[in-house]
Amino acid sequence: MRRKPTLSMFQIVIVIASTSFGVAVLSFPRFMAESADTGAPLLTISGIIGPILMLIPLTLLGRRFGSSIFDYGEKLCGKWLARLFNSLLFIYFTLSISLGFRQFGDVLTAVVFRKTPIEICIVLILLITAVACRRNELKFSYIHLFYFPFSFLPFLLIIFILLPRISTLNLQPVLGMNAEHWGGGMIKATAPYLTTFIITILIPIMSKPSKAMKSGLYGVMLSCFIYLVMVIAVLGVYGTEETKKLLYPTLELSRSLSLGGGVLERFDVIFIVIWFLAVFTTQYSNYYLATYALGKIISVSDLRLTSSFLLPYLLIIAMLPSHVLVTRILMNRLEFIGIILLVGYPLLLLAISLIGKKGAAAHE
Amino acid sequence: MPTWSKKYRTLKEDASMKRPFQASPEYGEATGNLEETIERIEEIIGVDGDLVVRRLMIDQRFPAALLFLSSITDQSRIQEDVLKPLMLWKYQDEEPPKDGEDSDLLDRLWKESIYVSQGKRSSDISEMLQLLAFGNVLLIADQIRDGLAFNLRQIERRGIEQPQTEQVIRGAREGFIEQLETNLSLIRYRLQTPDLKIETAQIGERTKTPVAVCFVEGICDPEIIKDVTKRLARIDFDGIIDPGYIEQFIEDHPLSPFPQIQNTERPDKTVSALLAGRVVILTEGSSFALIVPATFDQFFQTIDDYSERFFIGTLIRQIRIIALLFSLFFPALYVAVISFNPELLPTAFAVAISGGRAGVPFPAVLEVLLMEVAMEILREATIRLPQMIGGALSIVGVLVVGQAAVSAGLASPITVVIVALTTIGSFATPAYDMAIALRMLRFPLIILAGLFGLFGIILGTIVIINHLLALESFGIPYMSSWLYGSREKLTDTLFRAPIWSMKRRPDHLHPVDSTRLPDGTASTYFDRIFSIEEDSDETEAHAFDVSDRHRHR
Repeated sequence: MRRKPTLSMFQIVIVIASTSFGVAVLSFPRFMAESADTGAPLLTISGIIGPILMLIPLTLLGRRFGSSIFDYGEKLCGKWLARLFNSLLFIYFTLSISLGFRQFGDVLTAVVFRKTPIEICIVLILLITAVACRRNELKFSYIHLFYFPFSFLPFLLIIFILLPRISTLNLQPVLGMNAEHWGGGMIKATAPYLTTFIITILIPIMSKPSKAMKSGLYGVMLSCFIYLVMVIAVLGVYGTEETKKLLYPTLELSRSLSLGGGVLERFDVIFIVIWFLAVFTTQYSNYYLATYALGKIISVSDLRLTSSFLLPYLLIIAMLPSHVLVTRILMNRLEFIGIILLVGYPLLLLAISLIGKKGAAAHE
Repeated sequence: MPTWSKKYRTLKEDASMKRPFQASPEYGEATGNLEETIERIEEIIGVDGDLVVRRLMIDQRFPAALLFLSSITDQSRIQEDVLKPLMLWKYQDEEPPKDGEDSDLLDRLWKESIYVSQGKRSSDISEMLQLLAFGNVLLIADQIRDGLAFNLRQIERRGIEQPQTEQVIRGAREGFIEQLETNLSLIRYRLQTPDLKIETAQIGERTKTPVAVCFVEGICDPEIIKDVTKRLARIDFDGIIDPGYIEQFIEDHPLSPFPQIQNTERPDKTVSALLAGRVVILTEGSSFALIVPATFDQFFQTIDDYSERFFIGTLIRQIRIIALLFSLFFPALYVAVISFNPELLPTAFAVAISGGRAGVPFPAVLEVLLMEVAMEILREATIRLPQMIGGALSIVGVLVVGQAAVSAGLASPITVVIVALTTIGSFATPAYDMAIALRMLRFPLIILAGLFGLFGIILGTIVIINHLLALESFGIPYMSSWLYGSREKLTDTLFRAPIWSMKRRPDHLHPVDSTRLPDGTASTYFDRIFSIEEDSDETEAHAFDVSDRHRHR
C-alpha cells in the first residue's frame, strides 16, 4: 500500500499565508488608519494576537485527535452541542464567503466593469470556486501552493517600486495620536486571519503534526508581514488623512504606478488581476471550510455534493445587501461574531479537553 | 514478488473468466493423423494464400510436414537450418518412437537435429494457428499429436534513423523502429545492467500485439509497476494498432486535454526516464514508446537540456517556457488589451495599432479568432502535404497570405504578427500532444478575453491551472515539481541545476534508490570552482568523503 502523500511544514506555511492574504487587502489600510492614525503599522502587528489564540487550541487538539475540529468537537462536548457549533461555524463561513464575494463584485463593478451587472462577476467567481472545491484536502493545498508566489510577489514588487515615494514623516508618531479606537481597530486587524481556521482540516494530512503550531505561526507571520508592508507603503505615500478618505487605498496606490518610463501605465488593471488571485485563494479556503462543515453536519463525505448545493444560496446571500456600505456594516458585525466563535469555540474545547485529561488522571 | 508478466497473466485470466471476450473460436486438439491435421489447418487458414505445406519423410520412414506462412518467415533459414538437417537425420534405434514417450520423435529431432534456437510444442490447434500467425514454422509428424513450432520470423524493416518528430542538436541520431526486438536492443545496449527488467505479454484480442514493459528494478517504485500491470491487464480490446490505444485505455483522466503519458521515439530519452524510476511500454508495430508516469514539466524537456552545460540548459528551458506562455496567452492578451484596456499601452503604440485596425470590419475578438482558425487549418493541412508542396505552404507562405489579407482589409497587420508569433511559440514545445493541448486552450481564452477582458483571461487561467493541479498520473500529482515538495524538483523545472549537483533523483516518483552521485561530489565541484587556482589541483584525489558514500534507499 503506498504511503499517503502528506504536506510538509513549508507547504503548510504557504497555505496559511495564502489563506489569510485576501479580500481585505484593498481597504485594510483605511481601517487601520481610521482606528489608529499613524499607529496603523503597530495595529496591524497587534492583529496577530487573534490568530495565535485560535491556532494554539486548534493545533494542540488537532495533534491529540488527528482529525478536524468538526470531528473531535463531537467527542469532547457531546454530539448535539458539537452539531450546534458546527452549524454556527457553517453559517459563519457561508456568510463570510457571500459577503467577501459581494465586496469583490463591488470592487470589480466600480473599477473594471462599469456597465456589467454585479451578479455576473459574482456568479463567475462563485462558479470557479465551487468547481475548485470538488476535491480532497491535499489538492486543495496544491492550489494554494501554486498561486501563492503569483499573488504574493507582485505585491512585494509594487511596494518596492514605491519605496522612494514613502515619506517617513507620514508614519510618525509611531504610537498614533488617538488610542481610543484601538479596540474596534483590533477586530479589523484580526479579521483577515480568521480563515486560518483551515489549519484544522490540514492537520490530518500533515507529515509532522507536532510542527503544526509552528507552521501555522510562520504562515500568519508571513501574511502579517505583507499586510504590514502594505500599510506602511500606503500610509507613507498618502498620509493618514488622505488614506481615511480613500475607499480603496491600495488600489489608488497601484494606479499611480508606472513601469518602464511609460510602457505600462495604468497599473491598476494588472493590480486587480493580482488582487483577484489573492481573493480567490482566500475565498476558496472559506468555501472549502463551508462545504466541509456542511458535509460533516449532514454526514456526507462527498464534497462535490455540498459544494454544488451551496452555490445558489451563496449567490442569494451575496445579492442581499443593497449597497457597498451596507456590506461593510454587515462585515463589521460578522467579523466580531467570527472572532468570538472561531477563537472561543476552540478555546472552549481545549478547556474541556484539559479538564477531561485531568479528570481522567485523577480517576486513575 | 512474482514477475510482471506472471502477474499480468493471472490478472488477465481472472478478467477473461469474468467477461469472456474471445475473438477466435476454439478448434480443439490435434489428432495424431498427419493428413487430417494438415487438412484442418488448411481449411481454417486458406489454401490459396501464403500458407506453404512442405511434406517430407524423416529418415525415409516417418511422414511429416512443415507448415509456415511464407510472407513472414525466413525462407533461407528454413532451407538451411530446418529442411536440411531434417533430410539428413538418421533415426538410430530399431523401434519407431512412440507418441507421448519421454523421447519421442519430435523431442529427438529438437535435441539432435534442428538448428533453431527457439521452439515450442503444442497439441492445441488454436495455439498452432496462433504460432503460425506469429511467423513460426510448424513441424507435424504422423502418429504424434503435438506439433513443434520454431521461431523463424523475419519481417522487412526500415533502418534506424533520427526520428522526424524529435530532432535534437546534441544527442544520438537513433530512433525506435517498428520491430520490438530492435527497440529492446536499443534500450539494452544503453542500460547494460541486469536490473533492467523487460517483460512481454500480448494485448489485443485479434492483433495479439506483443507489448514489452521495461523498468529498472532497484530504482522503480513497485507500486507504480503494480499499477501499470493492473491497468494493462484491464485492456480488453480487439486490436492494438498503436501505443496510443494503450495510452487511452490506461490513462487516469481521459477527459482532460492534457496528456498524462509521455511518448517518445528516442531511445536516449527512454533510458533517462528508466533511470529516473519510470516505466516504459513498447509495442510491436509502432516506433513510439510510452513513458509512465508523466508530469507536466516532462513535456517541456528534451535531451538537449541535459547534454549541454547547465547555463545553456537553463537558458533554453526558460526560452521554451516563454514560448509556451506566448502561445497560450498572446492572442488573448492582445484582444483584452485592445478591446477593454487600451490605456495600458503607451500612447504612440496604441495609436499605431488603432490605425492598423481602422478598416477592419470585425471586432478584435472575431478577427483574432478567424486568423487563428485559419492558421490551424493551414497547419493541419501542411502535415499531410508531400514535401514539395508542403514546403511552399509553410509559415512563410501563411504570412504572405496574411499580408494579402491585410492589404484586402480583412485583418490588421498586428494580428498577423501575433498569430505568427503564437504559432511559432507553440512549435517550441517539444511534445506534440502537449503542444496541441495548449493550442486548443488558446481559443477559450480568446473568447473569455473578448467577453471579460483581462479578468476573463485570469478566470480562464485559473480554471486551467486548477484543472492541472487536480490531475494525477499513476498516483503522482501532475504538477509535482511546482508544489515545493523538495529541492530537487524545483531545481529541475525553471532552471537546470548543474549535473554534478543533482545528488538525488526527484522523489515524487518514490524511487527505491534515490542516489545518483556520491554525496560529496557537489561540494567538491563547488570548492574547485570557487577556490584559488593553485589550490584547485590538490583537491582532486582526496576530495571525496568516502565515509559518507552509501546509497539512499
